[in-house]
Amino acid sequence: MARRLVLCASTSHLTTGVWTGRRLERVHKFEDNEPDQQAFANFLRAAHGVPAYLMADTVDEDYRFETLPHTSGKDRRDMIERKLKQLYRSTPFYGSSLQDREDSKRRDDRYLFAALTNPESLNPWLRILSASGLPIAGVFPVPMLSLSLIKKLELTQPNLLLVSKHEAGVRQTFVKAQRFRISRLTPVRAGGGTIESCAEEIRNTRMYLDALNVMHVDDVLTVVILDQDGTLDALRESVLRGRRNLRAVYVSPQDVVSKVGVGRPAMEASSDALHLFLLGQQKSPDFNLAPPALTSGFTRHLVSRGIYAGSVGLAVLALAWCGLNLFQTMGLKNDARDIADKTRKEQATYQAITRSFPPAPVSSDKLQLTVDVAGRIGSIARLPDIVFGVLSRALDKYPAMRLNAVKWQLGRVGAEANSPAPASGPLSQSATLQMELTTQPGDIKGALGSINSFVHELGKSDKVAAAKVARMPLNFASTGNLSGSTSNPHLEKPQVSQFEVEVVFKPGV
Amino acid sequence: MLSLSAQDLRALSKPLIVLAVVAVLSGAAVASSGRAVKKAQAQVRAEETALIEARNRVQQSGQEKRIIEQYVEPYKQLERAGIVGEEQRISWIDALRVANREVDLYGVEYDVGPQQPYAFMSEVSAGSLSVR
Repeated sequence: MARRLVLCASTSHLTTGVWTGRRLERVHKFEDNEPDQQAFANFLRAAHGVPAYLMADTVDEDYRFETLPHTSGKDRRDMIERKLKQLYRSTPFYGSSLQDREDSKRRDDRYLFAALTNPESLNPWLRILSASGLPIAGVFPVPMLSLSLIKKLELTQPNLLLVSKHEAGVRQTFVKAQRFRISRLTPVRAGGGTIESCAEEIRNTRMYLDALNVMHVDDVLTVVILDQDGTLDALRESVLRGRRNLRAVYVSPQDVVSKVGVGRPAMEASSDALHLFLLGQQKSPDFNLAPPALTSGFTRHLVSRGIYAGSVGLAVLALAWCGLNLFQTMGLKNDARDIADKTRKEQATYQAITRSFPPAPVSSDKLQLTVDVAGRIGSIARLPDIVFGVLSRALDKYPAMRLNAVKWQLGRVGAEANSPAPASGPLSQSATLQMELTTQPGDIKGALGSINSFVHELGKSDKVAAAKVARMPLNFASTGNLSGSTSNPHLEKPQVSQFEVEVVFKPGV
Repeated sequence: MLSLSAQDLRALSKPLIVLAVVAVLSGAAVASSGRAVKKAQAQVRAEETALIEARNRVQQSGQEKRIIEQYVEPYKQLERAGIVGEEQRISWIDALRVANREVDLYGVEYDVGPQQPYAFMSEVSAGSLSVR
């Protein structure tokens, strides 16, 4: 639990202590005068942002039980707020607590309302506290803190009257079935001669409880005397004298130290030490009477601490994540090293094996690929010998024809001249033959017949897919010019006609 | 609805700055360490691939030896024939001159063009081999 300031304010003085999380330290009392108020301000300046928990110990307090219809949520809050404002118009210090639900058919809610009816009594201390800028957690009534003693002291009796001595006087808190009912502060100073007056107050309280019908006259009331400084030892005997419906439990200073845990130096410093200790122990004390305006700084303090806690949590989470990643990275790097070692061993094994290999100019893969590719190229490569063979056999039958040039190529079937070869298709040979024919003058029909016959002869070969005349000696087309002379045919010399033949061989030839 | 006053903002500015700084640094640290993990994972994958390749080479070493024994001589023949390796234009022309002289031809005109990629690559499945 974090460090906090615990304060107990009354009309005449203020007791301070520092709760360190386990112990109550530096218990000090300030009187209601200017030097002590200045000292209190100096004390707060040294506190440096520590939240302050203020306990009000004053006779100007009011506790009352009210039964209200059962509601919840905003309706309940609005209803309680209206009731509180109705009950306590003159003070901003009020609060409520839902006690239980009634057994009646309506199952109404039973509330405890409490208030400090004279806020002026706390103002001097609150002014200094507010001016210090310290976050004020709240203003808490003393009797509510006393309730935690029941468990600590293992008190099981149904009707308990907790009697404790404070700087402001003697406080009696009646608890019925572990629930707070009534509390009153009597500003009597304990000491010589005050025991009997305290006993008288207790007896009066007993009669008051009977009168309120809170207890039956035959019920036994257990008076728990919380003696912090050893001055109330005689009170037990004095209270019980002549009273058959009273019992007394004396809690000695030693018991307070051992059972509650309050340090003896703190108890010796102030009689408010016990309740300051209880205030420090409670993480979030019930019944905060402070108005929201007074505790806004504490709200900011809580939010700020929450953000800091979130930052720490985020940092821790990030560190854990980074640590996990780092651990994983180291593991992976180790794995990589192990695998690299294995790879090196395999490579060494391979190197040892390759020493027995015959020497090769290139790798085995390239060796095989090169030989295979060369074989495949050889299988599709062609020489023009077949073309010449077919052509020679045809020319033997046509002695008037003469071969001037051969343009031979291997390519895809369907490829047009002067155009890129198609991407797929069988390969075949083709040849363009540039030829000439010697004919008698004017024997055009005979020349054409010879040419066509020659082409037909070429096409008869089982290796030839197609043969055709690409260019005739003369242009007989209707769109071209045709010129010559028939004046004296006997004087004309034999004519040499040039023409071209295209031959396409079958694929695979 | 939560409404924050100027006083609230002043009071919360410092922790919010701390939170922002912590968030940025945390994010950067986590991202950086995450990148380191991914880099290490990639390194492991690369090493595993190299190991598999090395093991395959060892396992296939017998086959590799058989391939070399089978193909080294045909390969050398291709080299000798000038089919594999650098082209030998001068030798070709010399051979043409010799042939022309020996068979007493009238002369041969030759025209050797620049090297070009082999036109029928798809027919011979040359793969990574450069055929020109």
